Amino acid sequence: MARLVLSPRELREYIREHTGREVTACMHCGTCSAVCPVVNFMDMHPAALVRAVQRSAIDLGNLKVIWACISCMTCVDKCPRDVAPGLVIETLRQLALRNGIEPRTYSQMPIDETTPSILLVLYSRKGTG
Amino acid sequence: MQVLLYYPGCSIKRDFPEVEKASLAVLAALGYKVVELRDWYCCGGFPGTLAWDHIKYVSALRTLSMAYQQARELGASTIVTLCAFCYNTLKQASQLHEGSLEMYKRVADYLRDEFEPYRGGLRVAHFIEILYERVKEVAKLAEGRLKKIKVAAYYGCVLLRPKAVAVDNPDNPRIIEEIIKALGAEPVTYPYRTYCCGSFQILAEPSIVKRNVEKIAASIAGSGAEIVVTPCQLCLYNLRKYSNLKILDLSELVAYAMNLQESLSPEVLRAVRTFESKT
Ligand code: SF4
Ligand code: SF4
Repeated sequence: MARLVLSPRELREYIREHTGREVTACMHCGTCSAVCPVVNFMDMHPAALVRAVQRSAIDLGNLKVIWACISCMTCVDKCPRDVAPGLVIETLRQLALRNGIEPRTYSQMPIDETTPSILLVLYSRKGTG
Repeated sequence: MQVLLYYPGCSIKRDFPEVEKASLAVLAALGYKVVELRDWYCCGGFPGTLAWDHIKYVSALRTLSMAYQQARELGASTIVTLCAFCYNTLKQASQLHEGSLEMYKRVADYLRDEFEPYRGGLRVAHFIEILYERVKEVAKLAEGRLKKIKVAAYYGCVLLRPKAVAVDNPDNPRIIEEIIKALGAEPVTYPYRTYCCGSFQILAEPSIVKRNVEKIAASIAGSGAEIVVTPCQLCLYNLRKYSNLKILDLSELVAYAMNLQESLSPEVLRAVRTFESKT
């Protein structure tokens, strides 16, 4: 997979520009990770990702959390500091896609005539940025 | 007669015609004149990805512009959807001019050559909101037909998040339970009723959906429910795929209770037949 390594500063600015949110406002309460329904399938849980974005360079090519998040928006509603981790994740996912990082293409989907359109629409949206 | 504009969306038309049939029968029985939009497109449907990308609002705002014109001709003020994702997407789009003004202007500028840009004036509602508003009439028409039946309401997440578009309190929603009571049935409580089923990951990472559905199903099994209803067709699909729950779209149980059997599919009638002896 392609590599895209961004410094905390680049990431912060990119996230601020696109979501209007400030990751440095995070107080590390862990609420976002506690409410996430797919946290067990993430390599880095939402609170850890927000922390990492503040402190260390991130290699988007190796980050699984951005592909596991289903954008349910629970953490966005629950974050007491309005950091909106789900939007941060969404931003990083779109940034990855725009740089050619793509874990799975549409043609690899197990689709047949019984697959509802809604799934095709959702996956197309998630898979194309 | 109150007119409701109806936005079907791609999945209801292609994959869940039985949900459409039951829902429209229920709305007609409640006295609504339901008029399908004469022109509509896919809503562009993934509300969670709308975060900052104005392009994703184009399709939904185009639909709202067209709907607004038709609503004026008909004297309608509400546009109703049956699909949770269509509801969420259209609802967020309908609020754009009140929230993210800069993004709204960019989309409106883009659409200006096609339509008068949508600037409010329509209420986007999901089917269950209409049912809840008319819950007394629902009760009257159902005549307590589902007495003694225990029903689990499974909300999923798309009708409740983000909270700006929630149909009810996202932390403790009650409206489906109130509708179940109106049918004469008994709503059960269980912890996982708003827990996300895993959504589109059924295509990408099915293990996520499998595990989430197992959690939800175990939680329902412990509640003593005889049947489950959901207002989201993707939940319906995922729960059917990975559990043995007896599960219906909410509209189907309501249609059954309101004696609208002719609107129901043979599978639904088979599923509810076991109730006949109880009631
Ligand atoms: S939006 Fe993503 S990270 Fe946040 S709770 Fe939902 S799945 Fe988890
Ligand atoms: S909920 Fe908000 S403040 Fe708490 S850890 Fe997550 S991002 Fe930080």
